[in-house]
Amino acid sequence: MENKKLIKRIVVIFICMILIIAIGYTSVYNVGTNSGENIIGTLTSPIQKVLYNFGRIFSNSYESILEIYKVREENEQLKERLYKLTNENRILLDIVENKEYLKNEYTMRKMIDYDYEKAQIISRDPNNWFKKFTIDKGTKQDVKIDDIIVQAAEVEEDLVVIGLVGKVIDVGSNWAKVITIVDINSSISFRNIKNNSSGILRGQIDNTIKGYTFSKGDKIKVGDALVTSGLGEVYAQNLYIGKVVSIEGNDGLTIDLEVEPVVNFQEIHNVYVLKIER
Amino acid sequence: MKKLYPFIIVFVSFVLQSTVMHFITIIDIIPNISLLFLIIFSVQLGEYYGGSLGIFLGVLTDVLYLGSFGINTLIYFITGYFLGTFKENVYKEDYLTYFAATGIMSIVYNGFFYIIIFFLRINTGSLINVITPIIIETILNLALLYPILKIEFFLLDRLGIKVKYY
Repeated sequence: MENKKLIKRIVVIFICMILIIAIGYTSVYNVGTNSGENIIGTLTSPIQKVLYNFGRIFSNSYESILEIYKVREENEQLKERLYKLTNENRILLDIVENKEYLKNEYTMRKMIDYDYEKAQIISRDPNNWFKKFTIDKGTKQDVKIDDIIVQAAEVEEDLVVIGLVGKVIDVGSNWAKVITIVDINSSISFRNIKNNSSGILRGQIDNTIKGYTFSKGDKIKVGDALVTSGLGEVYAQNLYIGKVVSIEGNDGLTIDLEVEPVVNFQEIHNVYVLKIER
Repeated sequence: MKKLYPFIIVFVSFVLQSTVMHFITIIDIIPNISLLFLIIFSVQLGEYYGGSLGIFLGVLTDVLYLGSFGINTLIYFITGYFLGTFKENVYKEDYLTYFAATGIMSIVYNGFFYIIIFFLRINTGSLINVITPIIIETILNLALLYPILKIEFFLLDRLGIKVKYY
């Protein structure tokens, strides 16, 4: 009896030791997608897709009943906003068209278009520590590791990027794992649209993004819009991240800031994969 | 086949956890129903079931969602095995046992998680940022325990699995 207990304890300790070594090893070396992972992913993703859609339809119908009165009011507000933006756009276009260097820059930015793929979120991280999700597109659709995920809208056959969501970190035949920019493992380099000051942003556990500028002399204000700077060569340039919501001047060499992402990560269900040739 | 039923139930709970449960959140925090099923089965069926169900659930979670393999497997294994060792010493028909186990284990699970990712040098920000979601998740888990227990008792009854309540 005593022997049996001892063996049991040794087995438990042995399993724990192996798992601790596995954690250490896989956190340092990127093991990549192995066949076991691919098989489990391929088998579970169709089930997850059905269940995710079921949850979504249920939650959508519940919310639409609650918000039925809000819709008309919101529609009016959006119309007014559209008039304002169209007017603003006309003035800006007028200015751009009259300055040769601005016109060139505008044409250049418009020309950048990536091959893209529409994808649906099929499942999300089951605990509250990480903010990853899985999409229903994989190697079959030419999705690769480090492809960029954005929230976007297809308007008149053009893809209008709304904001940056994250990047692909792992890919199987009909699924891909995506790390969002609010995940604690995620970091992006940003550029302030107003004055080109730049810095680094990191995801936080409470669904926000915090970061710092590279220099204390950088001029950055609450409300400034931040885009990706393209440094690090993972995220392409000029993808909209979000707006600065607070700034804490610290005594060090940098300025700390908090950013509210433009994408509402709990509300998005469809995303676009930008396939970038590297 | 009967021995496999708990594994199937835990698998279903895992799939629901990663899909449908994301639509039942409070302040973006989701309750962990796979952990609840693991806790209930470990208390009822003992350390062998607890340990193996823990490894099964952990491997699924790690393979499909985590970058580094082993974090969930280790925590779920310890949770399942540790709770299972109390099988003979607790009142399994008393709901209070499950409530106590859930309250303690929700905090232990997240506490362990914090310690591991702290040693992996993953930046988690201030401690308040970490504690608030843990407390909310524990409360949500406790709130969901009663319906989950009812479902589990119903399933065991239907599947003909007998738990010795002594």
